[in-house]
Amino acid sequence: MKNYLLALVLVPLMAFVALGAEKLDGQEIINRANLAFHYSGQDMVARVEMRLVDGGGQTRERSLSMLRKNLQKGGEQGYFIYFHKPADVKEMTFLVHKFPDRDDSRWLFLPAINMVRRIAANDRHSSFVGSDFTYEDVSGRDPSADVHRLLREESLGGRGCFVVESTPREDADYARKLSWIDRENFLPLREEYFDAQNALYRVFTADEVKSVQGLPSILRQTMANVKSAHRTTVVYSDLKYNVGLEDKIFSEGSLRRAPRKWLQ
Amino acid sequence: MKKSWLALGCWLALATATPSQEVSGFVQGVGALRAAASEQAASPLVSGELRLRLDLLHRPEEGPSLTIRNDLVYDAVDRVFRDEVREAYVDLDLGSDARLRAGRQIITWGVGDLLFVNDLYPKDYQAFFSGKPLEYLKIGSDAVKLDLTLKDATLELVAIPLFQGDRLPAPPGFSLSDPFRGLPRTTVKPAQGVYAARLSFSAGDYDTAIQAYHGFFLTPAARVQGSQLIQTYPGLNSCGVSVQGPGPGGAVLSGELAYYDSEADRRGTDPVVENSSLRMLLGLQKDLAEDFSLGVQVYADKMLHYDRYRATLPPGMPGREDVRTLVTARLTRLLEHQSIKLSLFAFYSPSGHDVMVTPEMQVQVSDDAQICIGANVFGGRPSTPFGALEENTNVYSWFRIHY
Repeated sequence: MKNYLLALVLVPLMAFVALGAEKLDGQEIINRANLAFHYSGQDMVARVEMRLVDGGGQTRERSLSMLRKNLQKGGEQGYFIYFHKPADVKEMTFLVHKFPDRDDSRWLFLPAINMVRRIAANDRHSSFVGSDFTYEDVSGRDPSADVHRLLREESLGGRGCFVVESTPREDADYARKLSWIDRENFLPLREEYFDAQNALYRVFTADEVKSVQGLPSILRQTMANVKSAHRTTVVYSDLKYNVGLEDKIFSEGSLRRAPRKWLQ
Repeated sequence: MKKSWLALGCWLALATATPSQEVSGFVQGVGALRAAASEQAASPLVSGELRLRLDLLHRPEEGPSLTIRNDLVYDAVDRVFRDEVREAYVDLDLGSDARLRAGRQIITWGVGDLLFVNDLYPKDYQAFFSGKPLEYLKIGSDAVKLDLTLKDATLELVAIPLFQGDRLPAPPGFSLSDPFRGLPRTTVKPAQGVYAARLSFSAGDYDTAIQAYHGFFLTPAARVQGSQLIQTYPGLNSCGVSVQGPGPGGAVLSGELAYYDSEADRRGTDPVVENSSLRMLLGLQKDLAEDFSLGVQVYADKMLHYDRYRATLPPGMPGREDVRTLVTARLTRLLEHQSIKLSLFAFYSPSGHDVMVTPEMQVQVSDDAQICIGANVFGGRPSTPFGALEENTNVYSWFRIHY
């Protein structure tokens, strides 16, 4: 009798708790996706190969090493990028301090004239090194910059996904965005960007997802510009987390003196 | 000519002996054609050259690294072959907080865009005014440089035993009025070296640097002695500060201030030696839209003891103004996934009313090939720095193919 009464109370209670835990709204899903995609690990180092392909099939390649570190709670991150190829950007280094609530600070080092200079950063929507990815795509967009609405759940490539619609609160380079966020690891598997005329103009796909040191990571991703038929594929190799990158790597002084230890 | 073949031979040997990823380079052709025919100009070409660059970049994971950038040049204006060692230096880590770089190296200080207040390292104005790629504006110094990482700052110490001055535009490429035409000339380089130091740190969000320089003016003072023209480099001491950091709306604000102490002519009475001066620069760079940026700068060079300068000015020489001011603007537009760069740079002097405008288009044809076309337009009275180059207004083009 006691067990029956216990079950009568516990089962609905558990169901209620389970349902409550599952009931995520759009904002919460995007918050988690932002953390899963851009904040994995305290720091990260990777070799990155970018391939830019235009409508006519002409290919350009960029080969770089990327170091990332979470500098402060609340989202400040440092990105240090060292270019290996092509020849005209070889040994060029690039540093970004990303602040979620204000403009980035960006520095560029030009080896040919041995000069470090700051570059203007009031446009997160500009293209990163000519690719279809913008600075915002690379370092992440503030989750509170859009209104997010969970539309439905569906399966994509065998993975259960939340489909979230995001509408910017202020002017942005898209009017509306649809994201397919993996239910299990919260990585964005697909994103569709719509312009002011509600035409699809950019599509992001996560082509390969693997677990690295226990952290789900996108190892291959593509951004395609639907209108111009230009697309960029990014492949991460030698991806490592929590390697112990020093804060000083992400300071202006380190631009001329690239931390060779981390740049394969 | 023999030296060039020797250099080429050394390079081929080095290139075949070292791992291929350490050796790279490019082939570059540059040509600048005078825009208007000039009777005085000796050559229709302001510049014309074919250059073979060989870069040896030896970067082991530990231990000293070596960088050599060497150009083999055929100069169509001077009609000679030349070997130019752009840079040749060794980088050595002395512990974790100090690094030494010894050899020929390009050093750039200051935060100006084609305006130099705190950058007292040699420049090649002949290359700059004839449309060569920007890196050729800077000349390497044969120096020893020590970079020390302090707690919250970096200290750089530079010693240059053999002084190198600016390379100024000269005939036959450049047509210039020369008051000393026909006089045999000798250039006497300083016997002492140059010493400089810079302390860099962050003041809040602002990259700040304080620098000091003990060396020489980069342009020579010319004095007639007997029937000869003797060119010397008078002593120059300078101290200054530069700042760069965020402005409103993600813009970049830059500022520089420096005091130039003319050691050989502190009173300002020597007509041949530049007076002491105060120089300053303010700049703002902002993105107007995606891939479209604007930079503006204001510069002023205030000559000290101007009254004595005017009093001792040789008769017939127009001289310069008390405060030379310059305003610059740079507009840059990137197109086609940043493979086409359109830019317009202009200098205008509100004090002298002279001007230089450089429109340019650079195209990244492929990952390994770049082409460029542009023009350098000079205007103003002949007594002004840009006006004096009016006859050299040119249209230029260059290509670069990496291998």
